[in-house]
Amino acid sequence: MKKIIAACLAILSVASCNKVDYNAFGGGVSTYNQALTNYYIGIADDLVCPSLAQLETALTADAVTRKYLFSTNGLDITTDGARWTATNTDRMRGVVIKKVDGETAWTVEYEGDAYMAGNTFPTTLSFKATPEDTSAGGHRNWNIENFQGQRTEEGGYAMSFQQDGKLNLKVAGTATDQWYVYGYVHVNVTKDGAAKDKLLVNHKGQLGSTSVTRITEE
Amino acid sequence: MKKLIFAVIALCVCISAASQDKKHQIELNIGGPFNIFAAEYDALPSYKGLQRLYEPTSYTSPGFAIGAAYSYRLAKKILVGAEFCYASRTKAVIPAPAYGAKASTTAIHNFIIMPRVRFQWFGNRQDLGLYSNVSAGICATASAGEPVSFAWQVVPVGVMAGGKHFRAFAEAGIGTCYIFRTGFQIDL
Repeated sequence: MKKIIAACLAILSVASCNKVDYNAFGGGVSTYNQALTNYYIGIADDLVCPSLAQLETALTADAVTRKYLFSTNGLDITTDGARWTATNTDRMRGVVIKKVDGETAWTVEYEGDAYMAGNTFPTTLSFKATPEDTSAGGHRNWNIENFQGQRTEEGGYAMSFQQDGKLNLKVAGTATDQWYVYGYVHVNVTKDGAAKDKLLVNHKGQLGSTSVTRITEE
Repeated sequence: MKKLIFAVIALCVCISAASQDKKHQIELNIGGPFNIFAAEYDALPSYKGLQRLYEPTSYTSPGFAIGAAYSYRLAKKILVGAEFCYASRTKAVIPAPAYGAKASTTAIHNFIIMPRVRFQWFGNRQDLGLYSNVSAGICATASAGEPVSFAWQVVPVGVMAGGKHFRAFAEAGIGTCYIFRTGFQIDL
């Protein structure tokens, strides 16, 4: 009888412990830097790179493929006045590519739902892309100017972003996950229209080396 | 007056009938989840994107209740007594990841005491029986400013099985302390 009672008491005492590691959801300073970086690297990886991939496709694909992937205004993409829209792609479908008159450059504009950092929300962006040298697999490295846009998310949150200084895409391989963005991007986060956060994202290529700095105004 | 006299006589008859048996019973038990009707019992919200970065969250675990009860066998099939439960839950406040503080946790200690009536409506109590309970009392929380609240428990069916002096039980019900509870009983 004593053994049974002792066993029952032991079971009760063990079962009454209810410990959960809640820090897994929060974390320390390193975790918060990582949380911000994981999200804002998406500006480069999920918005800039797929947009430039469409521009690359427009420039390099053969005539049949171009016809399948784009709707055009009848002008070759290298001709002044050309205006192509990507109509058959998983990422950034609807991105508009326009030839800049008199320059070897194109503007890229997008308005619609865009996947970024794990979720899809309404996003607009635009930039001017000028090819630099040719890199891996015949892809170009690009110089990006006037990169800006905004994104509206759930809970009243929105962010606007724009480049600060030089912004480049460096191609390290043929796959787009080896396309790396270098340069600074300012981000303003708002909630219900009120300022929430102001950040400077230093894109240094890969996720591990990218950093996010909070801008505090005194 | 006649009704009162009749009631007293009936009570005496019941007690007399039960006097051949052991009258006192204690039990130890564990059940859960505790107080699932409470407002503070919540779940982590499924925030996405920026909202996940900038919104703090909190979570209160449902927890278990452990307890003890004493019953007096008023009649062959009726026991009255009281039960005491203790339940510890953990409330975690999880800051927004964008601001980097560590999650903080607070233990919420709840103490419940409820008078109880049990009706054993099937079986011989020495080996197997089915019963129902009704309990009502108070729940106090060991935190400043937390009001004492009403506590209740209804058990439509419980089953007990074992020997003459010692048996295990399991019961399903609804109320403050648990939806399912198990434990053991000892007749003294």
